[in-house]
Formats: sequence, structure tokens, C-alpha cells
Amino acid sequence: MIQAIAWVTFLEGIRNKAVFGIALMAGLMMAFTVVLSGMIPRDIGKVATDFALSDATFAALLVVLFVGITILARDMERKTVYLALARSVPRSRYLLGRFCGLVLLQTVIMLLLLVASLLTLLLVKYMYPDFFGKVSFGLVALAHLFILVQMSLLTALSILFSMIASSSFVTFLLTTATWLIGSSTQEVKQLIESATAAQVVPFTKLLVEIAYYLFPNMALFDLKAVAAHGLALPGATFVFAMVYGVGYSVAVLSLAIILFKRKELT
Amino acid sequence: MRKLTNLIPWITGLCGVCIYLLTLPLSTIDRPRHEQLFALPPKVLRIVSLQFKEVAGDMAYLNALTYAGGLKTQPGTDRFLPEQYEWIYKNLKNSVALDSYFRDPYYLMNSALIWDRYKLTEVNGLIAKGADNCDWDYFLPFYVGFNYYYFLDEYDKSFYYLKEASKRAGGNPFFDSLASRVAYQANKTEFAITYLEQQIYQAEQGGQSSSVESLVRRLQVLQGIRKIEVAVDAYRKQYSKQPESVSVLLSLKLLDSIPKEPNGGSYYLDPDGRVHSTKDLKDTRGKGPVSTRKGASP
Repeated sequence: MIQAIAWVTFLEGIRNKAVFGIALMAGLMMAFTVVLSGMIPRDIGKVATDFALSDATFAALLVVLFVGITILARDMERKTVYLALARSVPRSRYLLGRFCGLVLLQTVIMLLLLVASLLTLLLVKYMYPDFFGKVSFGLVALAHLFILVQMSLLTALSILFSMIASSSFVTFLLTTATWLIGSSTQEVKQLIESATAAQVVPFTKLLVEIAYYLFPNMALFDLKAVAAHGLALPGATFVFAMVYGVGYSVAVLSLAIILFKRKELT
Repeated sequence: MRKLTNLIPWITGLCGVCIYLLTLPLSTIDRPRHEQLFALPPKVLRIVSLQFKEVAGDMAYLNALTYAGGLKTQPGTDRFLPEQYEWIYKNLKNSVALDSYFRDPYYLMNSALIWDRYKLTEVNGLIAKGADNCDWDYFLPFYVGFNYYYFLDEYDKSFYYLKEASKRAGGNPFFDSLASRVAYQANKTEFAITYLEQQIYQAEQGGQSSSVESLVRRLQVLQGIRKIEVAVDAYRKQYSKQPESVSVLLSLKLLDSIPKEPNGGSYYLDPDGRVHSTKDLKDTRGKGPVSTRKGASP
């Protein structure tokens, strides 16, 4: 049952015109990466990797915000959710199927982005072999996996928000805000901790602490610097990031299922 | 009549295009200089750049690079305006704050700020951090070591970084030579000559013929200064006072000939016995050491 809903969700997503727009934008940005690389005197490979991975992150984020949220919202707004629920599909399975379908969609898109990133980097390496630096293709692939885990987490959050919010626009705003906060809490926390006690109001410090532990730490899934400079990635960091991502997603999805079960569908 | 009305959209469209083209030059707003030279503090930039820190760092570097490339020195001087140096400095500082492993900003700091003696201690400190972070690069410790010796008179740190450069380069004789000279607190001009020889070698390997030409001219100036310095030292030893002019050294046969100044200037001695060129060394490319070390002996 879950597989069938997941497959339908995937097909719905892949047929969405926004996916083609995002793919076109990603392709253009990859081409721009090659052009821009020529402007850098020395660390050309590093800059190309930065742009390729940033492009992949941005494109994946757009898929969550403009494809994932639309699919969920359409379900509620057009009442298509009744079609499944009327056939005595448990609500938990329905939601899990939707989540799996969106993750499958993200996986396929990330694979395409990985191919595009690797082709871009290979082209840059071919053009500037002496200035490619310590870029690691293995770590570039791993960075894409980290982006996928991050976006799966964000997808779970968007499902949770769609259970709370009254409209898709509110879901969009909440998901975007969560990603923005999650991407910066680590830096803000470090900034607050480095400041002297007199410079920071205790309430602000408390607020930052709460935000740091409440919102997902998206910076944990950012491997751009590691891949671009071929830095060592400790095994413990890798395992921790994966467990953190999966654990947070499971918790959020469970909460979404609880809310969905109690939700009155009118 | 109907044909005429059909033409109205075309005519209004044409008028619109004409108005647009006429007002086009006015559409670029000249912002005041303080606005143009604004840069966010690194800590704020790290927060607002979210997961795009590296790209933001790349853009900050490109900003500084293109800005520095388009600058013109102030009339009658070889320098830019202080706020222009400051803006380059801030952007490069932001760039390395966003990605401390990115080497290009450190190289630009060395060429655009260090040689123009702008915030020497701070800038060299940043390059030193880069040298510590990028442990695969041997030019950064080489630059840091040189700067500590030549500009900042910190021999211990200079020796440490030059030895580090040599170690990373697999025992490069250039770096070893410099490090050993620092260890004996050798003459600065000689130190600079070895540095430039290394730079010329590097530029030749990279096929940068335009750079080679200016570096060779700068090297020739320093070689001329060094030749006269040796004669000045011999004079001091013999007469226990400073020589009055370069021609005195020639007449006493302490100097076999006065070296030719490659930029068309001539060499002279200041009251402290320091050797200078009438054409400042900066004339060779706008950057370079300005005088030699007082009373140095090889």
C-alpha cells in the first residue's frame, strides 16, 4: 500500500512542470560555474565545487518548497485525500507513502544533480588540470547524499507543517523559515558564546539555545568545504549526521502522523 | 481610419523604446563612496550566508580582485586611497572568514596590501592563519616568513615559516637558503634578492612573461643597491663614519663601477648611509621595497 502511494506521489512530482524549470535553472547554473571558474587565478577546482554543490543545494531546496508542498496541499485542497482514505487506507500509511514518494523524487533529482555536478567538475578539471587542487569526487558524491538527507528532513517538516497550517502558503513560509533558522543557528550560537557576558542579554542567549536545540541543525549536512578542499571527514561525523538526520525525520514524521490521525477532514 | 488606429500600439511602443533609450544613462545611480565601499562584518556575513558560505567567500574575493584590478593610483603617488585599501582588506578578510582554506585571497592580500604596507601586522597575521590552515601549500608560509623578516623584523617567526615552507616543498633550496639567512639575521637586501629570484623562477615556470619583466627590473635595482651597500660597509669599517656619496666609494676604489639603475634613475646615499634609488622601487610595478636596511652587514 505504501509503495503504491509512494509511486503515485513520485509520478505526480516528476510530471510537475516546476521540476523542469528547476532542472533548467540547475543546468544553467552549472554552465555558469564553468564560465566563472576561468576568472579564478589559482583555486579553480575549489570554486567550481562550491558553485556546483551550492547549485545542487538550492535546486533540491526548491523541489521541497515548490513541488513537495504543492503535492501535499493539493491533496487537502482538492480533497483527493478522500480517494485513498475511502478505500480504508490507514492515515499513517497514507502519510508514510506520501513521504516515501517525495523522498524517492528527491533521490532521483539528487542523482541527476550529482551527474551534472560531476560532469561540470570533470570539464573544469579537463580545462584547468593544474589548478584543480584537492577536490575529491568521492566527497562531492557524499555531499550530495548529505543534501538528500537534509532535504528529506525538510520534507518531513513540511508534512508536519501542512498538518498544522491552514493553507499551503503558510506551510511554505514555515518550511522556509525552518530551513533559514536551521542553517544559521550554529553560527549564531557560536557568535553568542564568543561574545562577552555583558554584550548579550541573558534572554537572547536562552532564545538562541532553545532555537539551536529545537530546530534541526542544517549546517551539519553542509559538506561543501570538505569536498572542495579534500579535507578528512571523520567516520564519527558521518555516522552522527546520518543518525541525526534520520532520527529527526522519524520524530517529525511520527508527530505528523499523530496530528493527521486526529485531524478532522471536512 | 482603421489602419491608422492599428498603428497606434506600434507608435506608442516606439515612443516607449525611445524614452527608455534616452533615460538609460540616468538609470545607473551613482552611489556615494561610503555606500560603494560598504562591507558587512565577517561574523554577520557568516550568519546571513547560510549554507552558501563558500560561494559568498568566492564572491567577496572576486569583488576585491576586480576592484583592485580597476583601481588607479593617486596622482603623484604610487598609492591608492586609504579607504580603497580598507575595502580590499575587508572583502579579503570576509572571504577567508567564510572559507579559511581558500588560498587566492591570501595571495591577493600579499600582493595588493603587504607590498603597499597596509595594515602589515593584521594582514600578515591573516596570511599566517591561511598558511597554518592550508598545510599543503608552501608559498603561503614562504610569504609569511618573508614578510615577518622583511617588513616586521620578527626573525623567530620568519625562521619558523620559512623552514615550514621548505619542509612542505620537500626541501626547496630557495627556502632553505632564506631560512638559514634569517637564522643569522642576514642582510635584508640580500634576503629580498633571494625572494625575487624565487618569484622570477615561479613566474617563468607559470609562463607569466609580463610579470617576469617587472620582477627582473626590481631584482636589478636591488642588486645595484646591494653592490653599493657592500662598498658602504667596507668604507665604515675603514673610516668609522658614513660615506658622503656613491662617487666617494668609486674614487676610493671600494666600488669598481656605479651600477646602472634599470629604471633610468641613479643611486644615492642618505645621511644615515642607506642606499636609495632616485626612481623608487615601486616604479617597477607600483609595488616593492622602498629602501634598504640601515647599517646592515652581510
